[in-house]
Amino acid sequence: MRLKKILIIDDDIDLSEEIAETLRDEAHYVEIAPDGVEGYSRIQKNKYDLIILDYKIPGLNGLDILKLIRDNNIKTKIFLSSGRPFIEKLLMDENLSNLVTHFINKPFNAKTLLENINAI
Amino acid sequence: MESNIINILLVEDSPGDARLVSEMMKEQGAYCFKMTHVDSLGEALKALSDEKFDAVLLDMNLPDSSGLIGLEKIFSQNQEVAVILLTGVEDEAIGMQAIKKHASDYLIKGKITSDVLIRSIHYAVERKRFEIELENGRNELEIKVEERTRELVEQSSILEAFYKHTLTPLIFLDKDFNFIRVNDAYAKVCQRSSAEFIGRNYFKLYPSPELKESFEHALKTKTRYEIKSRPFIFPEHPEWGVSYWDMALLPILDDQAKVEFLVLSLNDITKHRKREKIIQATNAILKLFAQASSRKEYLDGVVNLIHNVSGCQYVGIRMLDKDGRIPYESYIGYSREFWEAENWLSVNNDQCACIRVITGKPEIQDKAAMTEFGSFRCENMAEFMCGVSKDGKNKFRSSCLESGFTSLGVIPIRYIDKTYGAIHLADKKSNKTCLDTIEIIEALTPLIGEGAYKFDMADKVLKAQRELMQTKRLSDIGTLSATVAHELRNPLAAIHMASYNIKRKAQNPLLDKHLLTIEKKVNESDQIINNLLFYSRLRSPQYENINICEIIEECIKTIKGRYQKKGISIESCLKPLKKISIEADPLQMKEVFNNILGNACDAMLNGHGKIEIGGVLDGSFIKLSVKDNGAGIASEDLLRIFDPFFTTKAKGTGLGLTVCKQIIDFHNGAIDVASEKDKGTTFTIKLPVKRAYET
Repeated sequence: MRLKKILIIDDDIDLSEEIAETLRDEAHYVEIAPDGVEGYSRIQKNKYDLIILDYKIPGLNGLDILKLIRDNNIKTKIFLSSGRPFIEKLLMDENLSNLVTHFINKPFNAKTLLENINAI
Repeated sequence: MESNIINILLVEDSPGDARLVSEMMKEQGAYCFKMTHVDSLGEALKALSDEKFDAVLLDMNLPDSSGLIGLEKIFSQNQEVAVILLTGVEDEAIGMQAIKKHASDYLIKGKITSDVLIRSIHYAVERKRFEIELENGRNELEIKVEERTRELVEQSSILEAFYKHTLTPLIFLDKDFNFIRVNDAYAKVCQRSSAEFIGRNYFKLYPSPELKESFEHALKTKTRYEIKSRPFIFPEHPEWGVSYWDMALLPILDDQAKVEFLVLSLNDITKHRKREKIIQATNAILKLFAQASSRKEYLDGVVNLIHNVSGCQYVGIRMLDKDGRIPYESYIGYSREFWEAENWLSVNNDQCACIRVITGKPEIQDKAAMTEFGSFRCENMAEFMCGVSKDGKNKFRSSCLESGFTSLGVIPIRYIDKTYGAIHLADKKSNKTCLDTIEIIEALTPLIGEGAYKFDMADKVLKAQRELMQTKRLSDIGTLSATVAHELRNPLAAIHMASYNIKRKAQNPLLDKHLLTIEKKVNESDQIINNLLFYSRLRSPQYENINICEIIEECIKTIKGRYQKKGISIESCLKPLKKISIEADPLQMKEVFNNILGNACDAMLNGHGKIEIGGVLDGSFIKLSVKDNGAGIASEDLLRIFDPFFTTKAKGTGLGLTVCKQIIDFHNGAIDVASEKDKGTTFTIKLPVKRAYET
């Protein structure tokens, strides 16, 4: 079970740090970005195995990040968290659904999350 | 002043006599005479034509004339010269004749002295001058009289032309009010020839004690009498109805200030009065429209106005509603029972003159009572019905006759190309719905229709605004709920993660129970948020014409797909509704049936069971039933199953049936449940075929 390099992009820092703690306890490497701009700058600089991306973030939003990832051919797995059903449809229209490995809903189950991460 | 020289012509063939006369003239030297002597008539006539003589001394015995012939000839040539006859014969008779033939004097030779002669000449000349002046004066007078007569004739023919051609009816009456003559205008009004009136008595023809009194007063006081707007019915033509006249009677006095005759002039103001009435009524309606705050108030005002204008006891306005019925929206005079019975009248089902007026399709038996505008008008129903054939009688209902209405009027209210309804007039007396009254109301109906239409529109706008407000309110709540729900998710996620981390790090069994509580509550909160989001997405139905059978078939397919592992059979018997379409929101209907069918499947014990779906049409509703033979619902739970967040399922939102009920309520339908534990459950749903409009 390979350890993964993970980037969490979410504006709720408390939540991000809790998730990061959970993942680090499992020996994964975790970075945190509080907004889309910093998130994307890190993506440009580093290669990540997984990005846990929240849709509603300041600066570049989830959709923008996905587009940039696609347009720059960045290879990475993405878990997209959003509460809204129409996001899925929106991504389908924009031809971005295939980028997303899992659509997850908050509050997500920690156990399930760990299993999904191990599975990628 | 003429000169004193008197120019004399002596016509004497005897030279001796001539000399004598000449001598006589000379003796009286005081006067100046100029004498010219000729000795024949012919010469005398010539001299007279050449020169102006004051007097001629004419011998009666001339070679070319004798007797009075010379006198005649001279006079015929010249009337301005005095002619004195000289003769030797003393003859009174001839003398008189001579005077008659215009001789100024008749003197006998031998018997005259010079002063006699001279005096005679003077007098003759003076007399002649005087005669000439008189003659001139008379001629002048004659010319003046001729001119004057011509003027008078001219004036008289102008007067005569005026009398003949004026449009104002004029009557000349004598002091006993007999017709002397009438002009063409008057004859035309009475549709007789003017000759028919001469000699007849005005009051024998048109009896009226009050008018006679007024005429007599005018006659006595020699003053003008005037009356305005007097109603009048031609005694021999009552079918022409009532007309209104301005009348003026003027006594004409002769030069002794006695009444010679009277002139009566008339003015028919019936049309003018009618127009005035229409204008007044139109203004009243406009005022009503501006001031009324609702359609009912407006129509009530209109009915009142028509009641006053027409004088009919019973007045009502019927307006066509969307079902084809024509209830009275406002009325005066009719009894409540009559009103209620009449409100069931429908253009689709019933037969009556009023219906035919509204649909604009009169039939043969109606024609006699129809106006050009399309109103039905009858002043004596009983008489009218007598003239209707047996078949025709079936085309009328008897309600009006039974109520005792004798005069009837039905006037259609049209606005642009639509008929909105009709105005009804009725009275127990006959002749209350005369043509003029009906025509006045006909002129008002477009405005009445327009007013009703505008109030309709205003109402519709108001309703649409209210609906919009409500939708907005719902939408606001929905948005708020959704926003709040979403916002709560983040903190919940963090709590969950933190709790997980605590558990892992603490590894303390004492803490387990509490951490479990935290976990449970996080889940519950999550559920609540989900429910809230779902519930808040509920909106007002977006109505479409849908086939409910198709919707249910789709839901059955979905459910079968979801529950395919289970051995559940679903039977549907929806034949009665196969062709029926109802007005409903298709997505919401799907939600309802997905929910109910899902519940039915969930209720199946051991995954086996049967679901039966049925549907019928019941009046203006459809009734659907979903029956399952599953676990059933305990009676104490039955009361609460529609409550929000009530669920007996481990994995249920508890909102399914709440949402279903809410959707059905929005559609103005009803949902009911019957159940017995372990036996099964039946849900019944009632939905209206046509969406209900708010009133």
